[in-house]
Amino acid sequence: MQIKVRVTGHLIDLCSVDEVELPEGASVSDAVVALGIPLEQIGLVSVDGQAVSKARRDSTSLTDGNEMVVMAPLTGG
Amino acid sequence: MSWQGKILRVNLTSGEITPEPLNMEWASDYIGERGLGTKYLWENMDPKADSMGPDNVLIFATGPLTGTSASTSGRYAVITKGPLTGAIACSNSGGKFGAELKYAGFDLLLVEGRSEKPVYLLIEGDEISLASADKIWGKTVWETDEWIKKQHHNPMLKIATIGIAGERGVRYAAVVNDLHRAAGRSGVGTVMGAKNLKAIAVRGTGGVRVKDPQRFMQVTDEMKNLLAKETGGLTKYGTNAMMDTMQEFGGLPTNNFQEVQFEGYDKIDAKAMLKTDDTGHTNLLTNKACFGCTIACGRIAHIRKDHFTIQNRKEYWHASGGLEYETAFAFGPVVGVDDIDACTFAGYLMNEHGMDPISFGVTLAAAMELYEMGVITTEDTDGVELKFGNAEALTVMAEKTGKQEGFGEILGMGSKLMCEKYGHPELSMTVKGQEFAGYDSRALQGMGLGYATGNRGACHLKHDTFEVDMDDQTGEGKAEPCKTSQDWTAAVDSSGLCMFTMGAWGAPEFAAQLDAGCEGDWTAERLMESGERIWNLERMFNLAAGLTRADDTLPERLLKDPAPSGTAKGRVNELDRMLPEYYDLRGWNEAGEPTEDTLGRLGLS
Repeated sequence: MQIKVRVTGHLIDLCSVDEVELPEGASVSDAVVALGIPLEQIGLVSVDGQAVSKARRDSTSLTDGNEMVVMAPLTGG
Repeated sequence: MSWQGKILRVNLTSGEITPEPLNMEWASDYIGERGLGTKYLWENMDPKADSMGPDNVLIFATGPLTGTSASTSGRYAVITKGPLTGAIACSNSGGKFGAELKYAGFDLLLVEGRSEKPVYLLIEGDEISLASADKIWGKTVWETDEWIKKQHHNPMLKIATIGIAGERGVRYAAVVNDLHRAAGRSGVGTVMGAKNLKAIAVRGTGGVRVKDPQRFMQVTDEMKNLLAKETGGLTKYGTNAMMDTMQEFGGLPTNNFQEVQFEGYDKIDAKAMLKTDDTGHTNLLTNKACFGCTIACGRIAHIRKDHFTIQNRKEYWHASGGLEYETAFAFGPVVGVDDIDACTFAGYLMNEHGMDPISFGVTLAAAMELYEMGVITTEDTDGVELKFGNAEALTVMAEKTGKQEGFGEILGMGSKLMCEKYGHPELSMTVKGQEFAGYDSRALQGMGLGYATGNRGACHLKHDTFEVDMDDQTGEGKAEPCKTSQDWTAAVDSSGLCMFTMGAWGAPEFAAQLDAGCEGDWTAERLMESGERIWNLERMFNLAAGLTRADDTLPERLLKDPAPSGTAKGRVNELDRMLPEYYDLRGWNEAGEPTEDTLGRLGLS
């Protein structure tokens, strides 16, 4: 299945794709691994506008056409 | 060592200037900068004093590591009673002024009284004097900086000054140093203006001694390497890299916090600053570091010469401080403007006239809402259509406010007083009278608790709950990280180093640098305890000034109107759930007052 991907902040330097191909039933964690973004560089992942907490990344399955946003951590400023 | 062991007391009423030994017992308990300044403020004034009167005290404080070879060691803080809030005000800045003050031999300047006529303080080595500011009263920050250097034939002077806004009582006037770094928040420049003190010019030629030079060099080198690994994003993109994250998250305050996402965000974010347009113009020219900093998050930008703001004003055809996240928020989403050149120009005006961009932008946003409701009209606003999204209204009003002309006088009151004046206090997006930064606390719950309990009013820099706020959008479990990070941030703000290192350095890393540089034994535990002591002393100042638990709250919009979109859609801030837990963790009673046990444990009885 195809998952649409956007990244924010400095993650643009770590991930240049806007789509990722994953097997059916893949989770948010699988998608993050496939994108190769270090976990400590991720503030939050959302799928179709819904936040997916760290604890729910493994158990949240993706479906074809989902839009996933990988957000950089916030740091203040 | 690391402290110079000396402060300078300046009485503007009598003209007396008196060096005094630094109270090392206080330095040991309160570190420096924010903490030490708070202690000196507490011991030298009545918290009930009028913030604009001669009995208020204005303190410029460095930290023990200011001016050393540690990375980001350019910090100093201005501490006083704030005119926006009636609470303690503490605003810190980078640039080079802080290190220069340390090299002149002083840990802290304590300014009391009020000069009959405008003056500036000159410190050139051992030559210290108050000089007439007649020729620079009414001048901008930039003109003042140039005039003083020429007057004294000394381009090496480092100058902290107010602009016209501070002279004329804008309640969120800033102290600007080195042309475009600022102790921007809480009206510390307003207090300086009320004292008739235009500027402080310093040239120092001494050094700073550290306890163990070899170990200090080794430790600070290690810390610089750690920073280099962790802060590359800040170097390349600056803090405005957060704009698109806040948009996706749904915490980007838009149109005076009526919305939490902004359609035009990508026209003013960090990527937009790097983009070259069809005329070959790129907003961002380069980045810039403060004294001793190896991050260099500062932005230097320029405006298209054919842009309406400057096309007939060649004096602005130069590079200057560019957009950071908070300025981009304050001139962008919160007022609905997506014109990058107008936003950049508004930033220039803040530095030139000496104003806090956050308070200005959020006050203008409230005025725009009043205008769109029909409460005020063009008859009030000098003919300007104060609609959300009007870039010309943004820049015209920024200039009018800086110069205190026309409707700018109303905007200079700040959001709280302005909204009360027009009978709509509910439109003021403030805590204790200070405007919010660029984070909506319906999406960031711990941020809301930090805002509500902030000792200087709404502030995003005195705690750090970003990680837990992003991962969980309820109020559960937010009190502890809010309290702990408030204490920790108080310690960092007292060290002389910058809080932007906190992504790479924790308490052990800060303690290692302090322990190598400063007298005494410094551990992570001691730093945390010092931070808690500082937070509680600030609270005691506020309670003595007359603030109460009722001031630890948020505007109804954030407590009752659900977030209209974003990942927190449908949520309000859960302050009622978080606040009692927070008081309990703090060791405060239900009235928000530290208990005797708490005061005793922290040595504050």
